[in-house]
Amino acid sequence: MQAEEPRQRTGCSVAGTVSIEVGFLPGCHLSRIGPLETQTLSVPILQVRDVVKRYATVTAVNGVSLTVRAGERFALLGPNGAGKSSLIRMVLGLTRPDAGGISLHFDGAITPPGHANAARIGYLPEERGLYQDVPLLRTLTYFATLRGMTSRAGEAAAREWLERLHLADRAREPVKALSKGNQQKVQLASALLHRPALAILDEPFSGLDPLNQEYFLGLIRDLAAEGTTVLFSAHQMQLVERLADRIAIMQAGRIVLEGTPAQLAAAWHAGDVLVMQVAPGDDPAPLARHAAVAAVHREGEEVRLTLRRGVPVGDLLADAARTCTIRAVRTERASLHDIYVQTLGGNPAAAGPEAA
Amino acid sequence: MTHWQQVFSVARWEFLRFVKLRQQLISLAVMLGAGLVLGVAGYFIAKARAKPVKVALVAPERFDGAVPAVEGVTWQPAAPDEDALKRQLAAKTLDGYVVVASPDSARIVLREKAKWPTRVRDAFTAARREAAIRQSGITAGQFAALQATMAFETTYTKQKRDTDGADEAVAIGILVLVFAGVMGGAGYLFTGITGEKQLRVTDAILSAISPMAWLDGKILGQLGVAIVGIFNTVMSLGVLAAGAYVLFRDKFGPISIPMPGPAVVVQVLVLVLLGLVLWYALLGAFTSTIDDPNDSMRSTVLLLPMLPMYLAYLIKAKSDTPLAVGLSTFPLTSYAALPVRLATTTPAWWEFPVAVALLLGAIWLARLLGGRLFAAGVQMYGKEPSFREMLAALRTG
Repeated sequence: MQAEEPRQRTGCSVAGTVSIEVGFLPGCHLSRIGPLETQTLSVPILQVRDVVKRYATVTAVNGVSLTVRAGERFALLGPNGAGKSSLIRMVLGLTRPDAGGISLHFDGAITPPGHANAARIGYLPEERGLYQDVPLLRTLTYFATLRGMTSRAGEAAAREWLERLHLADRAREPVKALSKGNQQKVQLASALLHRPALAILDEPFSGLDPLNQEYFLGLIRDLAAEGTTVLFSAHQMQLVERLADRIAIMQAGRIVLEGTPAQLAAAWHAGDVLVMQVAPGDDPAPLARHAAVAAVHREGEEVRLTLRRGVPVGDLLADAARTCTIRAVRTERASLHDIYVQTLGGNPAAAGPEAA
Repeated sequence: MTHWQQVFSVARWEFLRFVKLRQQLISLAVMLGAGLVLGVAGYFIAKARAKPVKVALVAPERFDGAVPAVEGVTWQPAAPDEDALKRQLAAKTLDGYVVVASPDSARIVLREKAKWPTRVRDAFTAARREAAIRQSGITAGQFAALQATMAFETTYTKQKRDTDGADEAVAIGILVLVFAGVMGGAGYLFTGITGEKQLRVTDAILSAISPMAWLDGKILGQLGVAIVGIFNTVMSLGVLAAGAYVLFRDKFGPISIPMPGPAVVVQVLVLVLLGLVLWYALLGAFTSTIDDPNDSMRSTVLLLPMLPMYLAYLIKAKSDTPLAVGLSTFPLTSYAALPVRLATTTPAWWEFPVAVALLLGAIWLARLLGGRLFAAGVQMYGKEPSFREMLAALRTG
């Protein structure tokens, strides 16, 4: 096993599969964590190097570097305004970085972001919308032709997708006749029907009910199983946890945590979570000083103590009993939600995890 | 996928979005139906008018001369008294009667207003005049000489084509068609772009094609829409005019439809189409900076293409002035001004090629700058770019 080279220096257009050890970027807040586990991953499909994007007085993206490898389901997380959509728009070539570089790797060729990649990339924008008065079939065929398909091939793909979405019998109906959930399905189909190598989905689950969220989750899994690399952003942590191979958490224009879900948990020493029901007036804050406790969060009468992996719990419960009136207690595995909240310090506007 | 493949994809989409074949066919059928109804109505009205009216003539011996023949009137023998005549009128067995009171006066009685009494009056007046001439001993030739006006021949020293009413009608017709093309296409361009911004489809499209390809496709698509709009206008006006002519032909008499020569038609088409491309490029770019068309003052820019048409209308009667020549070559106005002058005068040989060359140059510039503005404007939601930001976009792209 080898230590991963910093991504700024990784190779670009190597065909086939290479063995790379995953670690965090030098300069990143978590570079102190050191090498993590080794995985066999395929070649990069997207490389972002020290990218900066400023809008007037706001720095939306501030020195971001990341690599998405072919076949991955890569989640880009962060609070609203963290810079996720700005980064995605630069990857698509909709805007240009003020500094840094972005490269896309398709079939052994390296290309900059732009419309030359239209046939290889599918994009579901955060700001969604479809032509409301136009029938579904025509809408999907149009988007397919814009992505380089012929009208005939585009229409065939559109019919196939409408079948897959159980909307085939509504192909001639205008988009506005559909429910919001079905419109979202059509929008997702419009981004994917040309079978892109890289699907960029900006908040694919937003506005969907739980059943449709599950349906989308299945669709994206199927897509990845068919060989499409998926880069997506989302706020639904339980879905991200089930979908993502790797995750990057952004805050204030920077990546503050990156890795597989297991790596993220390890990075924060997150293991089990001790959940206690306490009396309304109890203050569990002193428990944060216990060696076994990584973080304390309280929601009403429920206190969640995230435990450090490998640190003996010892007299934690005794300490807790001295601090609070414990009415019930149970343990849970630390979720991505816990890690996310810890990483952002419970305050989206705060700096990185070091400040947390 | 090449730039032009993307352009044609967008153009096809834009065209089919606003021109729906079924609706076009229904419109055509409605227009033809309306024309048919007008024509049939006109035919029956004309036939009814052509049917001779039955008029009784009471006391024709009081007229000093032979009873004249009147077109469309059949003289009937008169009933013995006026009450009987009135009963005949009421029963519609008679259309009217004329009671000759003296050689100089008569009385006409009829159910309702009609045109034949005028013809009766004119015929009796002419017959009476002829009788008077015969009685006075003046020959018909002498009488004609007395009536004749003095003949004058007028010569203009300035070389100018004879601008009769037909030429002006062609000029106005061209302006109407240009108006239909500009306003139809510009309106759809406006609603299309602002609608796309409101529907938030811009990101999805711009991730696939360049803003320039999108704008070019829109221009081309709207050009197709404009051509259909012009065709529809021609059809509507043609059907309406044909129907109206059938209906009122006895009032207008025979008319000839003024038709410009093929060379003029080709030149007009080239100028109008290039002018539309230029204006669409400018309007498309500027429209992209509008966030909400319902409360943006910038929406009034849509009216700008009417200015050249108004100026062209003004120069219609003074089509050889330096101002007219200037408007005919200036790219923003030439598409309306030069076609009007082609209809009403004979412009200098160089005016058409110069106007086309300047239009092509202006289109190149408008696409270049318009594309930059469009790229900046169409991605801006929630606020409209300031004029400073627009200038920056024009400078840097």
